[in-house]
Amino acid sequence: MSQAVSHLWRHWTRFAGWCGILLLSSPAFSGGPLKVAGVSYFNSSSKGTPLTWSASNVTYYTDLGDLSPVLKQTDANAFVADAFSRWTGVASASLTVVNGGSLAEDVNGGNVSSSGAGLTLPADILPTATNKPVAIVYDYDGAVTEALLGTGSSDPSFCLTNSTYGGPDAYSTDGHFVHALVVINGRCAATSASLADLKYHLTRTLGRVLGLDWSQLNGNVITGNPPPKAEDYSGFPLMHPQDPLCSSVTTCLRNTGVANMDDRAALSRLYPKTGSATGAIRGSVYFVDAHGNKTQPMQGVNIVARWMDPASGLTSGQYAASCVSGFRFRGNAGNAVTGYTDATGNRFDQFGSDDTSLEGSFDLSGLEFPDGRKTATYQISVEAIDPNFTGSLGVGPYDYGQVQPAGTFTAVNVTVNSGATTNQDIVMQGSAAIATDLREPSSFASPAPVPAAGDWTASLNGYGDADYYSFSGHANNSLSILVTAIDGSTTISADGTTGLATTNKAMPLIGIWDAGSVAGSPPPAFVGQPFNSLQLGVTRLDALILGDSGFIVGIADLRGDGRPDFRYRARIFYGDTVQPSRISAQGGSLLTIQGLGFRVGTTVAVGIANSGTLSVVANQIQSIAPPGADGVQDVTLTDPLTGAASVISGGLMMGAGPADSVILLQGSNPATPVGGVSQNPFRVRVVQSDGVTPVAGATVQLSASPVNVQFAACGGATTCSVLSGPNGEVSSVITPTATGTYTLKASLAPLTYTTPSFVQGTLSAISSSLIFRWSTSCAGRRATVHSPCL
Amino acid sequence: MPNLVYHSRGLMQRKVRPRVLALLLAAGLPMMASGPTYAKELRVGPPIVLNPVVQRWMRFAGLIFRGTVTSIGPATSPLAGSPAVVEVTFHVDYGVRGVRSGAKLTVREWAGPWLTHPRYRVGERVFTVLYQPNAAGITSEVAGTGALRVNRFGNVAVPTAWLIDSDNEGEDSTATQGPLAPGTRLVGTTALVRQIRARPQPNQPVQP
Repeated sequence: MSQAVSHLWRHWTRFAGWCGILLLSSPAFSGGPLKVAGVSYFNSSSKGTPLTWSASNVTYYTDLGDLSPVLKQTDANAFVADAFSRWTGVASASLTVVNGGSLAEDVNGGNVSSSGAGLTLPADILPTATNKPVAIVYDYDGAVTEALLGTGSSDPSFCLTNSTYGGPDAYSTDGHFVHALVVINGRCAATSASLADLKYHLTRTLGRVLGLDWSQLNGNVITGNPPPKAEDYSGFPLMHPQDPLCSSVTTCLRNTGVANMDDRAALSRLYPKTGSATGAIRGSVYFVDAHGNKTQPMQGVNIVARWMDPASGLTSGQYAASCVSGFRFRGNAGNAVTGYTDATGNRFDQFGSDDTSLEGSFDLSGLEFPDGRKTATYQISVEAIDPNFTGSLGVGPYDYGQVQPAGTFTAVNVTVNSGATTNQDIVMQGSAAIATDLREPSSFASPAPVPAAGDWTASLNGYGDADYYSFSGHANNSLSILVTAIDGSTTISADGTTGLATTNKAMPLIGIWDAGSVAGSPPPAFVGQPFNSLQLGVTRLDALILGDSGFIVGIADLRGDGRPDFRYRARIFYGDTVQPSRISAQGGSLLTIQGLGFRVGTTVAVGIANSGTLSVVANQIQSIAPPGADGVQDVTLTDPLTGAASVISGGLMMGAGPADSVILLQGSNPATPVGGVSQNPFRVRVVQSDGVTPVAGATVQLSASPVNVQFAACGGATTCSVLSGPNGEVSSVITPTATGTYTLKASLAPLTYTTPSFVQGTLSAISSSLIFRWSTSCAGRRATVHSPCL
Repeated sequence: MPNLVYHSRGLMQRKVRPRVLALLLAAGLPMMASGPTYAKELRVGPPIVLNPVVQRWMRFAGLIFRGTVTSIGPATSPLAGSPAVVEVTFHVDYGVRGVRSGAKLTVREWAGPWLTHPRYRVGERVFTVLYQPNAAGITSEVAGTGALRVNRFGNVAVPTAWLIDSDNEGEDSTATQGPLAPGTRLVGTTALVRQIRARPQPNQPVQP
């Protein structure tokens, strides 16, 4: 976000802040409350308190216009009042809702506009209009909806989702809602037949206005598994996250907007009524240690209480309530990798308490006594929250990503008495799947060294835990860091550790800091999205190191969470050095590559040529170099299974290096007859930049101008490339095929270097008649042309 | 389409090497970002048929695409006292309607729905169906269905309610090598797009 844009946004929100309200997005907290005050923005005394309307009193204001042809303004007001009454009628809750009058206008397309300049709404329905705390807009022709949600959004095809919408949009620092907006799409009230569904949707939206979150209970009503019975429908919460696709949802769900027991219980927790004839079960969910003792509280478990009918001895589908453990605790406070503020610059920790004693707590108050007695038995069971219930469908504190509960819990029966609270903790047996985390302690200031093999198992254990590891790398090398979230299963993986990859536990993020960075500083390189690789449960960061340095690798959960079941396998795949660092361009040399995180199957390439691998252990690969071009070569290591890759940039010199040169050892000859062999070989040596140290295996191109000579080293060809010998030398006798004076040339790796080092010699070729005359004096020596015939 | 920002980058290829490239300096350490990351799309399960209600919804959509959220922020020009508007920018790797594959797409949403829950997260891979943006460039997800999750193979987790005779039992494990949320079924992007473009058949029932 640019500073200018950020400034505009903050200006707007600060304006709201001056009014003592908060207008921004953040996760909800469920199992009852839509929001819970956190540690920022709200007063410290409000921390951990579900947000409600102050004094349990809601005053709403309605549109001056009609809602639809069949719901004139007066009728619409009655319609709204009836929908509110579905909540105010809950006997166990103390809630007052008052119609404060009308808005100042008929809110319609005339005063709601969207243009290139933006969106304009009447002032008294904006979040800042706290003198009209709840604004109810009658969108007669859908123009308001079209302005807020987009073109076509008011069409009756969308009455399932867009007939009513809105919710709280401003909060006070003392933990109360101070404004909410509700829009009712008049196109969904076009006929009398449509009003039942509209009332249902409106009641749900008003439930959100009152501070209720979505709830998960009797999910078989939606999934059909097991087939729902009538009592399941009767207990299905009005505040379920998502409606089925139905031509008439009230018919499908057999609910015309009636708060069922789960809704009633949730409302009574927000607006408790003294002397209510209900009971409560409260407690906390816990992990266990190896001995079965309670340890850390467990968040995000749906706790379900079902009345046991004494007549049948069976649990009830109708009289049931649920609560998500840790509903008052934060579900996302940010993390060390991506930071602690959302995309609009607001702190995540403004919602949800940081008191870890609340991390597993649940509150099943509002339990009713259907048979009129003063005591009842409720069966308590646990279930996972549907992983789909995140974001706008979020249930519970983990609405950035649900967590599969660890361990099991056998349902228990609990006696509940009217007006009393029964304490019942839930201990999840088998949740202590991990051994001691051998990588702890680690901190940003004192990171643990990366294990020698570059491959380890650890956990983000303890709320807010983030793990840090120290590591050193060489400039221009690249690496991959892989973190696999694993579950608590006892299945043994390929590396001998237990646990299967999962996306339902930790959501690992990876960051890298330069050693010596200030704690709390943002990582210059990071992965901000968990599970970004093609492997299940794997987050991968690929990085290029631009300078020799030590680094800190940080691993954190997206939500900033830490639990005993947040295990992970980490691996740094990094090639550090190659020995020898210089080999012949011919290849065939044994290469020893040192690094981290190697596994069987790791492939090696020198330049663009694959290299044969002889052996692989975690820190070392032995490989046979392929033939290659002269010059500096990258050595690329790849793990095909994971896609991890590491490049040792310029890790290997093959043949001639860029600073090498070729020197002339022998470049002259006496005149040589055509068809005869030069008396002296054309002899050069490849040396390093010191001019002395010979270079073996470097490519030297031999050529002549004109081309009418044959190089013996080339098998009689007029030109070729040969490799320098162990002493760095290349030598060849020459046979001219025509008379003339030839320039002999030895170029060092001309295919690699655009201006290669080269040396030149000369050869003078004379005609064969001269040879004949001359040879008569040298009779019998023509066969020994390597020796001069002087 | 006013107020939509298109920056075609010519990235027509949909198979981009899956990697997040990061640059580290010895000091100072600048950061880098991620790109779209999909393997070859897997064929998943039996053929699908969209519920006619959903097909009707699709007809209202002005923007349909698969992409990655690259940034979220406030709109650039909120009027004083006007409701907040959020800008979301995507890298579109599979444009279906209203946007090309490879384009950078910025849309605006009224901030109201963001007040209670996050709508998107930077880095998230989604298949999104949006209304035609209005004159202010404001849009939202059709039928409030939310952005459908996309897995690492580019397959879309479609609510089973969107499908006729959908049966998601036993077809997810091999395709995803992992759990699939109940109430959703993995559908290949290509198959889903084919259904989105198909005309509803008159005899198809509306559930239930």
